[in-house]
Amino acid sequence: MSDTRSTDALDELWGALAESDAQVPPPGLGERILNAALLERPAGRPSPPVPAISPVEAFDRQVSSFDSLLASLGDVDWRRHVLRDLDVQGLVGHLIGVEAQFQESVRRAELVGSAPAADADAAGDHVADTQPVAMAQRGRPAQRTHADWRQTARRSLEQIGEGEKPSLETRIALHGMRLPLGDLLVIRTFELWIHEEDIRRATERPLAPPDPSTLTLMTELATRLLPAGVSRIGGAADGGTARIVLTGAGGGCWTVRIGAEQAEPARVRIVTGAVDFCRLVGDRVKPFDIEATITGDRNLAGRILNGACALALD
Amino acid sequence: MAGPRRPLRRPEETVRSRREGATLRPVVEWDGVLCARLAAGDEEAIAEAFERYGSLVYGLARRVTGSLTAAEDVVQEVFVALWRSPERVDPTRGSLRTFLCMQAECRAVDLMRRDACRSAREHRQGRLESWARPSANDAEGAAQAAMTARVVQEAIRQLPPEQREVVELAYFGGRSHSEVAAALGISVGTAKGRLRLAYSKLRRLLAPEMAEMA
Repeated sequence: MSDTRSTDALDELWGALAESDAQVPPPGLGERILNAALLERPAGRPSPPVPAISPVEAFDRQVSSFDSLLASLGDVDWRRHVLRDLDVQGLVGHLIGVEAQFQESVRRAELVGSAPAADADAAGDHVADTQPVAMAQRGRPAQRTHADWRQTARRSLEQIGEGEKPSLETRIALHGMRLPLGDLLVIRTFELWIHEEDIRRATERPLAPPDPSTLTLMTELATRLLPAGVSRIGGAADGGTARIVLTGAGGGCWTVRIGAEQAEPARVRIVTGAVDFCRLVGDRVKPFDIEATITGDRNLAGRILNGACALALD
Repeated sequence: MAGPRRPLRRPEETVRSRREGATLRPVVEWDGVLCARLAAGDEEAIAEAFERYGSLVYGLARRVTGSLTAAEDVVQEVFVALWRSPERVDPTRGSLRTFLCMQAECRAVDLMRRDACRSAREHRQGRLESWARPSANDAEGAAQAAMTARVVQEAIRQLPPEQREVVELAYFGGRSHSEVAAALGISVGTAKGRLRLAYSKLRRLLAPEMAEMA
């Protein structure tokens, strides 16, 4: 028995011995309890509740967090290899390119009211299109790269933040997707957080999960996009309904239909941490790297977890 | 512990992926996962909690209140409160079973005496021979708690093997009587009988030490 539990040793013994009194409860009591419980807190709503924020606020917070990280980096840190053929400075250059693409996409959507469906196909390659900006950082002072990124990120916030123009419902084409601006901002927040953790890993700094309000937006969107991720890996043919339970602050509970046309009882339940799940969606961990409790159809669970990885941009 | 151990499994088996594992493998779903699911808003978790612990809480409430109706009210209050604020349970500090039992006894006594938790604690401690219970809020309290735990462990070691086995499964393993019976291949009645004998012997064994500690 560990010291932690030793304090409660007598209570535990008492609890175990109380089993002697166990009696079968009357029929219907369980159902009455469930009904009464759901009146107190609807299903799917986490406890304790997490304050809701807008996608604009989430993006703003993540920009601030990323900015603080960059401000803390020394010269050696900026040279560390992070991703693909990029060091930290190159990765920040990539993000400067992403901001420019994002601003252009928002401008185009503003002009026509909403991006035409064809714009999603024409949006180009997320990595290839930003590579010239990433490469252009080589030899520049790191502080200039940082200042350029900060300036362009603030410009993005000004473009979307003042009076919420355009509307968060406006469809924007970016990275081969065509999504409402609100969803796109959550994806942008996701992207910045994933790259913040990339830099933290590369520079041997502790990882930093998003705050619970931001994480809630991320888990909600990621679970909503899960069917698309599973389709992307060709795993939706033999579909079914799954219950996704993401634990910890920023988590929740969702029923997700994978290729299933009709509602049906869930074939599998996946329980895992909200932050782990988001790292999975960012393709920074693999399904077997995370602690997940799976009950039911293991095959479907495997396709869902691999489909989550397929949602990653880079 | 005497004799070969049988593999222990709870009624519901689940599968967990692990960092070190190349394949999915079955493991037990512990209280911690159940509490995390409750906090996430998984309503199936409250149904499972009732399925697992409902008879325990109901039986305890009936014994304290002596009333079928009052016992039902207590059970409903306990499980609705668990769903309302699952974060009140800290699985690292103790089992969900004990938490629910304490809640049930508090509420049952409250119904009967309107003197809530204080009376409940007195009642519980009375059942445990009025042992002095240390506080963990300071170093002295923690040391005393550790000593209490050692005394309890030593007493359990002195039990006959078949009684020690059921106590260890029920106490350290957190298993219900039916789970203990299934794990050992004995009837539920036999498991209960051994636990009663063990409890009686523990009271005798622990009485002098607890009097000294007090």
